[in-house]
Amino acid sequence: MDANHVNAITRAAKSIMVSHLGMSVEVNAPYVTASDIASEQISVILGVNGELEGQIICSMKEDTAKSIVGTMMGGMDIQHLDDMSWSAIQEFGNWIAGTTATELSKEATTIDVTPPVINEGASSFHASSSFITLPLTSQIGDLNVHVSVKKSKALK
Amino acid sequence: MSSVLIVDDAAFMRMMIKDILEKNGFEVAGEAANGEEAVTLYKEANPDLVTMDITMPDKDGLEALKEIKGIDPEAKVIMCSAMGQQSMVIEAIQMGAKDFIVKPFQSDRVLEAINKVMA
Repeated sequence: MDANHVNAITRAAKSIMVSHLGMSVEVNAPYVTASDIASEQISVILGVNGELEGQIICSMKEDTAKSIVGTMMGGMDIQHLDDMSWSAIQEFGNWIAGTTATELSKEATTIDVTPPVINEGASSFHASSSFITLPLTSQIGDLNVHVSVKKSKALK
Repeated sequence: MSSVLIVDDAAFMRMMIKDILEKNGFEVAGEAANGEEAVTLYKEANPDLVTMDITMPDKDGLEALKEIKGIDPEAKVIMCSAMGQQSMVIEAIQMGAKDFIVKPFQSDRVLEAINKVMA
């Protein structure tokens, strides 16, 4: 994976948390995850295609998801995640992916992002490619962004 | 009171836009979750303004914009795009959209765009 692409995704995730949700966020050292990725209680999965192909998975604890949804709704206290909350979490994924697309376009790389899918329940993802995990720490909990993107085969 | 048709496939985004509009004295003429519903509701409700998401299932915002402009060349449509959709925004403006707002947006920016288009 190209370090520039990973950095672009890191900037995007941090920017959404800081600029749009008003969180103070610390980005910890990225690490390579084997092809088995542990998913927290809530994960948003986004597919990447275009000049790059792969996946971006944003994974968090349920309480963190509730805090994100509550903040997005203007400071509401979310007791449980209902249909409106799932829509908000999907939108959160779209914001990160959309900002990633903008960041990558600065590096002359064009990508499209598929609509977000949410996985509910702690589980594991298995993939044939390895992932880089970007761990973000904030006052509302950890957000792990798992990334696997490489140059699209069609363009090689 | 100006009436607005909200078009977005995400229930959350429709709720947020509705909230901003109602708090600022606009009437919500209807909500559509895709382009097909948007065109149908436009004919039924004849709103003063439409906020139109670009990426939607079945019929997207660009197709819906084209059809609405076909029905009513004077239709006032503001596009709502995600970041990284510049080419589609340009296409929408060329097709007659009045302005665009980029998600995630602040309520001030939404009102600024609406007030400018309604002026």
